[in-house]
Amino acid sequence: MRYYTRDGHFSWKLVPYILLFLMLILTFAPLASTFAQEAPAGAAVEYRDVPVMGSRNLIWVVAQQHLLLAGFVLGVPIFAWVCEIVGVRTKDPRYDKLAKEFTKLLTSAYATTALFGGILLFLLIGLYPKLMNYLTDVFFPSFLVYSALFLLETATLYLYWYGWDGMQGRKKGIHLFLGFLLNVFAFFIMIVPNSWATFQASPVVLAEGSMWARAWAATWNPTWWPVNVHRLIANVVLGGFICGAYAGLKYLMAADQDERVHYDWMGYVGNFIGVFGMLPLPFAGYWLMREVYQYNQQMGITLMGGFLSWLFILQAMLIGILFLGANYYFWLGIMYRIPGSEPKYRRPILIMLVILLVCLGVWMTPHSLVASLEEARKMGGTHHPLLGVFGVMSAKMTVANLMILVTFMSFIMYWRAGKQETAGWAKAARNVMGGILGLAAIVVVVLGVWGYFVPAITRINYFSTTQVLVVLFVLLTVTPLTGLLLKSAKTTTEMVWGVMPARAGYALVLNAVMVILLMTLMGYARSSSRVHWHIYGVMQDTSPYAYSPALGYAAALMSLNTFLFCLMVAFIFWVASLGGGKGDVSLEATPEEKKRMKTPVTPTPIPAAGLHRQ
Amino acid sequence: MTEVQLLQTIGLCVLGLGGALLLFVKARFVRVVAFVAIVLGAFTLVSLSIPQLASLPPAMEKFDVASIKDKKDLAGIGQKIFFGKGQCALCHTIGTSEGRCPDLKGIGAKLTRQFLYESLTQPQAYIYMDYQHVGRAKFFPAKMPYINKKPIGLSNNEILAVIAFLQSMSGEEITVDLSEIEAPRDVVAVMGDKVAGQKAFQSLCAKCHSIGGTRGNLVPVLNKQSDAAIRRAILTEPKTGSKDHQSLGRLPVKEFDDLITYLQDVKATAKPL
Repeated sequence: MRYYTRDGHFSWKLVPYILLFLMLILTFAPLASTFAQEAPAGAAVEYRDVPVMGSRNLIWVVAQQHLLLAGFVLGVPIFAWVCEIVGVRTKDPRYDKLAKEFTKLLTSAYATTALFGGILLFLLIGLYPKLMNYLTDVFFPSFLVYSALFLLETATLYLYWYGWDGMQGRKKGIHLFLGFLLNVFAFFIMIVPNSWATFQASPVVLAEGSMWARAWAATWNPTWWPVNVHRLIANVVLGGFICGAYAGLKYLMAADQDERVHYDWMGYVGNFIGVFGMLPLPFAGYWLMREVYQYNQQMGITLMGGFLSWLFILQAMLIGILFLGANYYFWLGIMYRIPGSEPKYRRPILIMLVILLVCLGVWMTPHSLVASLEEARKMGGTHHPLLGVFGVMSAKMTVANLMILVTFMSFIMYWRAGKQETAGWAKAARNVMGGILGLAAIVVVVLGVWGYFVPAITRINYFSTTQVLVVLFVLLTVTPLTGLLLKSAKTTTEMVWGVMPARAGYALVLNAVMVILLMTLMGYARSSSRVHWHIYGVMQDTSPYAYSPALGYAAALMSLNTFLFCLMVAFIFWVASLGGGKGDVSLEATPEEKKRMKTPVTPTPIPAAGLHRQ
Repeated sequence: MTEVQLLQTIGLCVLGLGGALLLFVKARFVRVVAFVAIVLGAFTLVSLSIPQLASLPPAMEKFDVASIKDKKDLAGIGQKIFFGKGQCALCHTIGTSEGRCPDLKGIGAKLTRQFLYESLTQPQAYIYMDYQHVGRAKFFPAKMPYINKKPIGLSNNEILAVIAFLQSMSGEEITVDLSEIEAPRDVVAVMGDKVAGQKAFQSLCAKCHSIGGTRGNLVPVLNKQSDAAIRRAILTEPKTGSKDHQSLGRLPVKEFDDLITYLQDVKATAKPL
């Protein structure tokens, strides 16, 4: 790293690292001060505070950084391993190289995740001793299990990473098995702490049996598995989009065409993984909310209809932008990577864009509008006479499913672009797929409209579930059918990598920021749904911070957390690049790869956003 | 400057700084950082533009019996509980029809005091289906929670105060007598629902136990044990080879409380055989 450019000027590349350093100092500096809250003589300390920042905010920042890093570290091995398998199956070295690059990011982030985990633990013990005593009493056996899992995960990760080159050829099977083990351990590392957090939200009665029996009873609480499934998928989404953003950034900063080709392709894979995970994520979220309602209806109402209801408008906005960003990237790919495809796809892309925007508008329409007294009088209440119709769950479930269908269509369109199906049954298959898609959209809309005229319980239990199943059916039938169809297809236009405009890189970064913000937002929702309880209904929060701050304040902290996380990830990846650079994971395309990618021979500059395509 | 104004100012500054960096700096990394800052600044500003509601813990109203001079005072305390600790206003409205649960305008005139009490402590005992003003009467999926149990956990005094408020705001005479207000105890007993507990007993325990029956009659056992011992016995004394009691450990707290309440009720009412 140069501190000054060749012409002697200060290197702007240093700025984010200086900022990161300053932010870390600012974050932890308050700890140096004396703790404010001391226990009266003879009484056990229940809480300690941190001046200026407050203990709750400090825990919020550190826990959020740890969770985001953990999400990345646990999500990446899944698709790194899948990429490696694809490489073995297709004998395409690009996938093995990509898997190795993913793992390289993983190894860099792993230690930082553990570091933040340790800091979080120390802070929790110090600042919330009463809660931690209780949780330790209940969960001590799982602390031991967690430690053992961590040891196994670390050992496996080192073997997996450092053995990459040594385990090629005949030993590749062993390496793949290590990747499998890595994911198994990672999965258990995720679900063990999930039990601690979900127990706080949905505690169960604890028998006075052995410590293992008590820990197991507390672990198997009603929201444990819904959260496990939701987080597993969300981690893949987070990992995919962060890798996409990393590739987008590297693409923007690429010095030569080889790098540009590589990172363009990596960005495409990252975005694909993110979208792939994003499609089933709302279903997992829906299951989680159902379980929350079943466990405690009041908690469900606090989330969906109480003071947190506006949070879901923000969630809709973020998910909507994420859907738009992911689709936009697909559309740019069609336009730029497949020469000559623009006239053919311009119209369907425009239609899809309109559908997405309309859906986003409906999803973001609040149930009660922010209106002045005068405006409310004119409307006859806080519900707008027309827009109020879109503020209810029936409309939102419908548009969410439609957006998933449109995104899926974008992906299928991208997949099929530049290819001509040669199978004799191709026409029939296309008609079937079109029929399935069209019919599914009609069923989703009809059920959505019908949902207004049936009791809510019927809508929730039957209509919404049917909508979800219909969309899943589309995903599970059209994907393999398209795969079969393209197996024998003829490529009419070769894909050209490394010619995407700069805005594609920004779209990848935007998607990652949206996912991170979403995770911070929903983390706040999950935590706030417990209102003034550390452990809902069991242990009350009696600290000065036993309240949930308003959304504006919370959003500012979420933004700060997201910014810190982005800077930290950039820093970690930069550190990782210092060690090996191109040597570790060669970005130099082999002649075979160059041929496959149809790369332009001469390096070309990245077109600036909004400029003409090359 | 309020907190919201301060955050808005910071958000605008971030937007401005990000915009300036995008306009004047060519280094790609800095441009990307500026882009991220703009996105986050915009998100914060949007979040600050919606209603700012904080969720405060319920105010711990000190129920000072001595301070209640007349029924009006009692209704005043009930009003605070209605909008505070009781969280009634989370779902119910008074005078508008936009709540997710029945509007309570004039409810004190429509319903008897006994009915109100039962609605708060055994909300599923009778379901009021006619609250939909148009169309077919239907169940509302949001069930009324048990107000005398956690997480709300109003004490008997507090429930009586809420009833006094509901009667007062309906223009009715308050039928809660001041003599009914008990001196507050240190610990508020959290009662379960014995009807729900009986159902839980039937589904979980009736395979091996009965109340007054021939197989595994629990009445003599209950009469010998303290409440704490009963609770402990259920959780810790499975018979050899039986895993039935262990499965009780997965019960939500509320259902376990219901079961205990039912058994306590059995103990209190059943005569030793």
